[in-house]
Amino acid sequence: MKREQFEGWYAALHRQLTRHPAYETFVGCKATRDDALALVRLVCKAHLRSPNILGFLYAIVPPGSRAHLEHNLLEELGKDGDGELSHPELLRRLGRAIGLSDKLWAGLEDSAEQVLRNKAIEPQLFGTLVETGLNVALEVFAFEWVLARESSKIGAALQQYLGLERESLEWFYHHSEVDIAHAEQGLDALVDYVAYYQLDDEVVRTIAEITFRDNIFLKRYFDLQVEAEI
Amino acid sequence: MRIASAALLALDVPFVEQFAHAAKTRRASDALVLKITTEDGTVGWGETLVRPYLSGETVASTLASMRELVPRLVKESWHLDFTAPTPRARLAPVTLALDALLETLPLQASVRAYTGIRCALELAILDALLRRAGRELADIMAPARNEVIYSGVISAEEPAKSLKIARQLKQLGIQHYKLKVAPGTALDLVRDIRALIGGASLRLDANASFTFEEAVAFCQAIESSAIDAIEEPLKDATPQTLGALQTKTSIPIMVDEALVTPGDADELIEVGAAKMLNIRLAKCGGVAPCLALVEKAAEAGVGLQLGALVGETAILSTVGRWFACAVERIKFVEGSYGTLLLKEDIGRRSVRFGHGGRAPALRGPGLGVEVDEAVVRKYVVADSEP
Repeated sequence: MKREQFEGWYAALHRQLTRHPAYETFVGCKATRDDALALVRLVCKAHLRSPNILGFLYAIVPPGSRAHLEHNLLEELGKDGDGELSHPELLRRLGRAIGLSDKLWAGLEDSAEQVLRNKAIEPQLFGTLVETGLNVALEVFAFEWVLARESSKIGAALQQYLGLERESLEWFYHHSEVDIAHAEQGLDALVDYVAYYQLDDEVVRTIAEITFRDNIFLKRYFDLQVEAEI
Repeated sequence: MRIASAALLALDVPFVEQFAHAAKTRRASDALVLKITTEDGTVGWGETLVRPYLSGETVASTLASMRELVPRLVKESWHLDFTAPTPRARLAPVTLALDALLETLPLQASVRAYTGIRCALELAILDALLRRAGRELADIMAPARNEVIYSGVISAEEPAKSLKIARQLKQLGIQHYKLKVAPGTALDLVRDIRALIGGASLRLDANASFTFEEAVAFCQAIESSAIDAIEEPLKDATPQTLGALQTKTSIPIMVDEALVTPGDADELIEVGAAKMLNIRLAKCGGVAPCLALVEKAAEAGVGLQLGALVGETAILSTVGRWFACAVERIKFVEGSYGTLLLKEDIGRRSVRFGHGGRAPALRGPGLGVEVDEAVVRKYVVADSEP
């Protein structure tokens, strides 16, 4: 499977997101403050446990991609030596900035934890860890690819809706600045993964169709079920 | 046990993907969930789905029936007989009281049988009774197997999309496939899917859409595709027309829409109209009627499928899992899609099957499902409150 194929899927998902009325309204600052608060909650729910997911991927990626995953993981954990907070901590700071109560925040942490717990408990859908790993990698790298292109716009819109300091929205700006490189490396990691585990194109395509049955950005950030156009 | 209050809640839970068959395209679950609270505060949950083309009940008529029943429901004393020798006998006190209660409902011309509401009531009462007794469904009937294999269903779509769904199901290791068909379904699609899935089991479901002549021609054209059964092939079927069709094809006919009550089963079996019965908890009235149908099928040597109505949530999925584990002669099992189909399920524990359609027995107090009431409340669109 070629790099261009993965990039094509991500570009299609990205295009569908940016052309969707919910997204256009949001970044065009025509939504409401409540919509903005809802989006923050959904982003937090989606990404609070990102280090755990990356930890799983780190365990399964081929040797050639480990350095990339290690760097990503350390950065998520705030342990890459640049003194930045961990990404979950950036999200918690955002939660505090928008005035989420301790109870609401605890509910979000619980939901995020529940997603991980269910993944561990539910019967596995795929027959091998390699296939599960590809399913996870496709989604994780899709978020890096799209966030690299859109997160600063989302951050700017949130700044306007909620009157927040830029510092509170660091999670969004960080992803747009840092993930340009990550996003490109993610595509390389996918090519490496597929080659290393000798997955044939048909299997990769089918797992991609299963992974991207819905547009995951509209689903995770806007709570919308929209069939993905990949 | 006495019931202090009962509320039937009509839900609208979006699907993650539309589901189509010959009669209907659905984009959301219209499950009805029943919450009962006993005088000592025990809560029991039941569930049903109703279809006008099955029992004749609708969501609106079922909510109305519930309003009628509540005053009598709360006067009844409910119990199970755990010392009785058979599962049906253990359920008998509830069965008798419930059937007597339903007989008080006014007859409606459009309703063939009150099986839908019966299922919700039976499950909620069972849940509460078992919880109060510190027991579970396995105390009614012990599992005969610890795992069941669910079928993957390919909904009625354009051939290219049906093949795409079949490829995805194959990637998930599905071993039993069911393809929705209708007049106009390309014969090549059946053959292509057979070629794609190799030696896995393939059944077809026409949802009562063919005329007799169309069904004969269709069945004969695909006989070489190793079809394990064709479900409800005929529109306006009678036991006699189904029996006549069975003489024209070697593909076993499975009855579904034509089978709602035990009386239907007697008639179908008597004329040899079906080699397989598709029983469904919500369609047939719950656990006790389905156990009666299992006994009839066993006596007649007829095969069994435990089907599901599209949109069943965690309650019916969990009870279905137990039923399929307990009744070993059930050959094919459907349902338990959980969040593969529903945007959100109402149970705290996931019920969806895994790779190969495999799913383990689910154990737990009562029916074995812990309902998340906050999730239920998010999707309520109507209720039976006066």
